[in-house]
Amino acid sequence: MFGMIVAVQLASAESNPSSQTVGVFWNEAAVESSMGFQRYHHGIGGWWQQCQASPDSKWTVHQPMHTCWHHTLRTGLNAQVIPSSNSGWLDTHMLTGAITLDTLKGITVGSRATQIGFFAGAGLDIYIGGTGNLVATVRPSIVTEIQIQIPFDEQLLWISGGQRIWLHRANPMIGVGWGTQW
Amino acid sequence: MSITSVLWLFACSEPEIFQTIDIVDNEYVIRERSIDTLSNPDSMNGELGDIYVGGIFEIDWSTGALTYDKGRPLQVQYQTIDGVAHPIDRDGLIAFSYYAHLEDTFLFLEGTESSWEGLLPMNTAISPIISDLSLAFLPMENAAYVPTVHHFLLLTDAIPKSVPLAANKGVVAHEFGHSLFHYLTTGGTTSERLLPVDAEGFNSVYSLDEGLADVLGYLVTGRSDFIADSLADQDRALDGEHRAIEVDALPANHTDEGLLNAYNPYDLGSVFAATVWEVADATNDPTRMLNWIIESTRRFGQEIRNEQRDDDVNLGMQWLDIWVDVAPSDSDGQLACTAIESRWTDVYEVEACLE
Repeated sequence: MFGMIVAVQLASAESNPSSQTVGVFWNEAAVESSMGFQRYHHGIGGWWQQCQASPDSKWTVHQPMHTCWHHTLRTGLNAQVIPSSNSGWLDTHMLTGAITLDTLKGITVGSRATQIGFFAGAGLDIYIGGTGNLVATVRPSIVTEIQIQIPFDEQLLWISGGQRIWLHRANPMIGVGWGTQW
Repeated sequence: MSITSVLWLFACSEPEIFQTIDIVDNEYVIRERSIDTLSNPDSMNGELGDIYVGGIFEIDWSTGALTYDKGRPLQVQYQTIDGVAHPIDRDGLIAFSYYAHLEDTFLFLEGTESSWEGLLPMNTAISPIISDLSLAFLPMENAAYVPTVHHFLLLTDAIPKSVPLAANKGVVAHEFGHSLFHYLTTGGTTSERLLPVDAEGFNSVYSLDEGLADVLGYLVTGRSDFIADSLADQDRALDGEHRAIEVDALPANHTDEGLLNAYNPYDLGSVFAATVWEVADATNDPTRMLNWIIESTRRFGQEIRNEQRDDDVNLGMQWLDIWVDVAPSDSDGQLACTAIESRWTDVYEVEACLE
């Protein structure tokens, strides 16, 4: 029994001791508004992920588990119509922007063909908007995220979905992106 | 980003002025104004009432009583710069506007000869869960008054519009008008409705309620087509050609075959509103007109509660008799009779006008 566990750990570590991925993605994220409605922000984001083969892995060689740190920057914009005596688009729309910075810890499991990651961590949400003056607030979030990574040689397709949670709010977010790994 | 900018992000002093969507020079624009009745703009609490998100309107099926299990307070995102509260998002702008319009409406009421003891506070529920079937089938986007629990109800706008319903001063005054109708006719805010839904006169009184609510929207804004600022496809302008004889289904001809009351009160309501508008436009004294309507409506409610008026399919129209009866002057009464004759011919006659 002891020998088998050691063998699995060695095999897992040898298969991919450490890896990194970096990429960009299309971001769709809900932001809870001042009246409690979820308003969707559209934008782009970027991620950087560092993984280590988990020494505690009890998975087989075919299902290696990695522990990872994941950092994400997301941006999103939303425009809603407001009244104005001028007719220009910027005069008749109120823009709000959301910039979020997340640091997550999690695991990835799966074969070389497809890996699934489960992450949780902390996020900082900067919410920007206003009419006439640019104003902003900063809010914390607990972030949960599930990722699917499908490698294509050195590249990978990255799909993620998660929630930004705090008292009285749980805002969903999804991302689809492309990255590189080494 | 400089240090000052970072500090500014976290700065939050008490605002004195608020950015709102309001009428300036006869058009809706972003307006900076005071809202004296709003004591806590973060969660929208104040003298007029508090605003909650969610919660549940529940009905006790054994008694029919409606209750509101309140939701959480609002969390308005704004920053104060030089004493002015700048909402970060449009919903914050709507929240401030809604409260400002409530305040303007109540100030207008305070200008009358009546006492409004007990009318406030009146809380507001945003997108609550509704277990009452008659309320659950409200259109997706609406603002409404829920009688007996004395709450306003706001839903999100399904179709984007530059003046959202909750930021439309006339619409807010209209909803306030329903609370006023309930208060004046029943003598309270949480009292039972004036008539049960199966009463003969329910539909005509329902139309009267809608019509008088439109009148308050007009008197507060001075706009005869205030609904068109948000919903352009409604034929509700008070200065329109509304005549009772042209209403598709008058209460006397309406047959209710479904589970729910499917009567459309707005067409006949517009006839009531247009009748009053005709006189208000000629006399051009909104406060005097409001005093006149208040007295008529209070007496209308008292006479029904005291069983001086029998339940009748045209019970709502009998308000017109009282309106003429309590006219502030002969000339006002004459104007009212002229308006009734032009709007209600072949449908309803006010006996006092025939003399």
